[in-house]
Amino acid sequence: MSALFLLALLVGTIGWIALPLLPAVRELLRPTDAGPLTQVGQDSGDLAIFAEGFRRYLSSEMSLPADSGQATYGQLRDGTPHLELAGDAMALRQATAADGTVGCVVTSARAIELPGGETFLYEVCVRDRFTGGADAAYRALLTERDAQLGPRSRVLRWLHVEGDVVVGEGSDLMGRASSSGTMRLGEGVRFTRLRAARILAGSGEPDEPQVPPPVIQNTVKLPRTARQLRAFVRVDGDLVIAAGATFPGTLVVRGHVRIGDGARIGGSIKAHGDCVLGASAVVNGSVVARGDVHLGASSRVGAPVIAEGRATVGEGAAIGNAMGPASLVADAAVLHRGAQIFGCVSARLGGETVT
Amino acid sequence: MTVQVLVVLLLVVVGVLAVYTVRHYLFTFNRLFGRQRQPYVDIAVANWPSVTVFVPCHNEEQVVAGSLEALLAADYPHDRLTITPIDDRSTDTTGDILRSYAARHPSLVRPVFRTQGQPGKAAALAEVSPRDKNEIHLFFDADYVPGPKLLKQLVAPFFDPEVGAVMGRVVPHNVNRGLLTRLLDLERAGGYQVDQQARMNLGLIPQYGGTVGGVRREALVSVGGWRTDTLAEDTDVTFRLLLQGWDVVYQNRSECYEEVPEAWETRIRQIRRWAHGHNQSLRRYLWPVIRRSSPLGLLQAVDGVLLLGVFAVAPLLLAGWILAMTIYYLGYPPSWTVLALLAVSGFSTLGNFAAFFEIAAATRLDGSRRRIRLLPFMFFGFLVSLMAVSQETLKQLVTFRRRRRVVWHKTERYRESNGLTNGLANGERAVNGYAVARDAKAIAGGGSDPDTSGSHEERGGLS
Repeated sequence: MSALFLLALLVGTIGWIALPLLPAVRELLRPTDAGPLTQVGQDSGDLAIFAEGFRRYLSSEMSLPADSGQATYGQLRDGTPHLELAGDAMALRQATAADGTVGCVVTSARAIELPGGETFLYEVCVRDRFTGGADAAYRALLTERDAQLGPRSRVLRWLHVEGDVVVGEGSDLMGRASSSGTMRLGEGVRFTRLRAARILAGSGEPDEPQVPPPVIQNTVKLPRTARQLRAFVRVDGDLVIAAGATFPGTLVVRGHVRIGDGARIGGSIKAHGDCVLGASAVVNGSVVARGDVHLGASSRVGAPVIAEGRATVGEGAAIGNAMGPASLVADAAVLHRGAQIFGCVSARLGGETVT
Repeated sequence: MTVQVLVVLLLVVVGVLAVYTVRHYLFTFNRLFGRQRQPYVDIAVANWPSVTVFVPCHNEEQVVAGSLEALLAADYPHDRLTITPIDDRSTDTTGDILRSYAARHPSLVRPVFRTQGQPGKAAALAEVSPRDKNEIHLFFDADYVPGPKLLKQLVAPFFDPEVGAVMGRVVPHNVNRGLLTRLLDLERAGGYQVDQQARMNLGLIPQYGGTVGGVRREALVSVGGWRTDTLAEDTDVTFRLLLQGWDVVYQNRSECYEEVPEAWETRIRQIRRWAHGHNQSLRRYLWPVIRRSSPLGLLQAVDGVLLLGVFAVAPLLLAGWILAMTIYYLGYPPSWTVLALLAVSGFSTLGNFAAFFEIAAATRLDGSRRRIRLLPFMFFGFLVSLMAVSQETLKQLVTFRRRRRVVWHKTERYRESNGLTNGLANGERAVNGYAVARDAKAIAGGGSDPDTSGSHEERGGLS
């Protein structure tokens, strides 16, 4: 074996070993991705975060006067096309393309009512009351007073209303929708994430739930598998609580649980399977289930409802109250007519209002 | 006969390593393709319970102000929040800094100054936390800088009455300081983004890590409070809670910056401390986890054993190498040569790759892919950890019978200013910028919530 061959073998081996190290050495000497991950602090908990960002953006980029009293077409400082309607819905025509799309940021310093059918490719910001027509599509919508979206409206990214909002039947709220007042959802509205002081499904006006009184007496006959732990009673297997029964503490059930009509639980309840509350049942604390949660008609829950499966909020049922807000978190959510949530709803796979 | 014994030992070592390899792949594939469980993180509105945030400090003058500023900026209702820094005999200006914050925020910041008793984080917590009657106790190390929403996120799981402890994700911020910090960044990504979340997804045992997390006071009391005779009070309390029927949960979206060691000596001290404490837990909880009366399910018990034994793997791997070399130089020809070769080469290809695969998957999930180029250097980091952990474990074995006092070695701090607090942690990036639609076609064809698209799959990002 010649020396040359040995040398070539050595060089080849070293090269082979060094090959995967080359990009590593390059990244070490000339870093391209050496900063801390930027997700920290950018949590998605605040549903109005994009609205706040858009407000700041507009205040820094607006070159037109805030309210000149007449419709004006121009550009924002960064070159984005901008139309100020000043309450004149007819002025929208000049920015509407042949295919019906509106290719500019639209603002209105005054209240405005649109005819419907528009497709806004950019954000819309109305500093007064907003009334949208049917079949409109919004990239994002910010209104500083009450708003009404027409039937079959679509909001693709976010909606924020400083006031009350009514969402027309058959609408799609694809991203986040928030309101500082009451959010009333028509029938067949699809949504993902909602937040409002009061979220109301359907067109009726149900009574606002009161803060439930504490539960003192125990009339529930627990199975022999039940064990009193320090903070809760744990039940192995399924549990059925009879109609009208009362239980003052917290229950953790390692199976399915069904709470009868009118029964009352003073603490929280957790099921490793599904959790079903009968009509007019009351849980003062939270309801947690690794499966589905079904809240019967006119039932009440005083704290968050967490379902790792599907959550159904029955007709006239309520989560939280005006004094104690709460959240509904589930993979999928169905809100029946008259359902009320005082806080937020998060349905990762989507939610819907039904009759 | 000797050779046969060595071969059996080697097979046992290989078997254990193979189990850990399968675990790595299972977790990684679960994170990449499985159903992700984060049931509590979207609870944005609630009647929040009263909370105390404990910040144990010992000579933290470089970092503690940043941590307190971040906590004061938290959006948790101030009438239900108490911040309790625990100054454990600091000899620098930490005490003065805490007094100054207490004077400026008397209803919020209530420091405790320890001047006697056993030193160390566990002892400090054991002494101070029982006096506090708030329902939830959260814990941050003094170099941690929580974002404004983090406290609510960490409290949210406690609406589940079975949850005893919650753990958030730790993200290094001093990544660009050198090779070590960059390797630790990758290691942390793998550990949290993949390991911890996969355990959460699979209903196994997410580990409470002692910081960026919290416990339910009632749960802690029910298991006897903090132990002071361990160097891993976090692992210890994780297993005591689980064995008493409480849940421990992990939230990947509850991130917090930390400072990772910038010097190898510091890193070696840190990992030796972890190994020591973890091995203490292995000794204490192995049997309670596997016995029939344990409240843990079968899969949880298996995961518990693997989690408890994770620092015992290093000396085992070292033993495997020594055994393999010894058997080879003894000239022992295995009777199943081809199969053995296939097994060895197969394990070398897939087994050794498992941990790297996990880290690669983590960087992909983080949407920060170019840092993966440093992956080959992880081998050197692993080697250093292997030697340090093996040394500590062997030392523990040798001194098993001797009762030694637990000595806490504080991790050195490097931060020179609190600029971090003034920037990223306040969520400025999250709200300062806004980009209007640039691609008009995108909206005409249908849009999506930025939360559910691209690398921002799990979190809010800029529009």
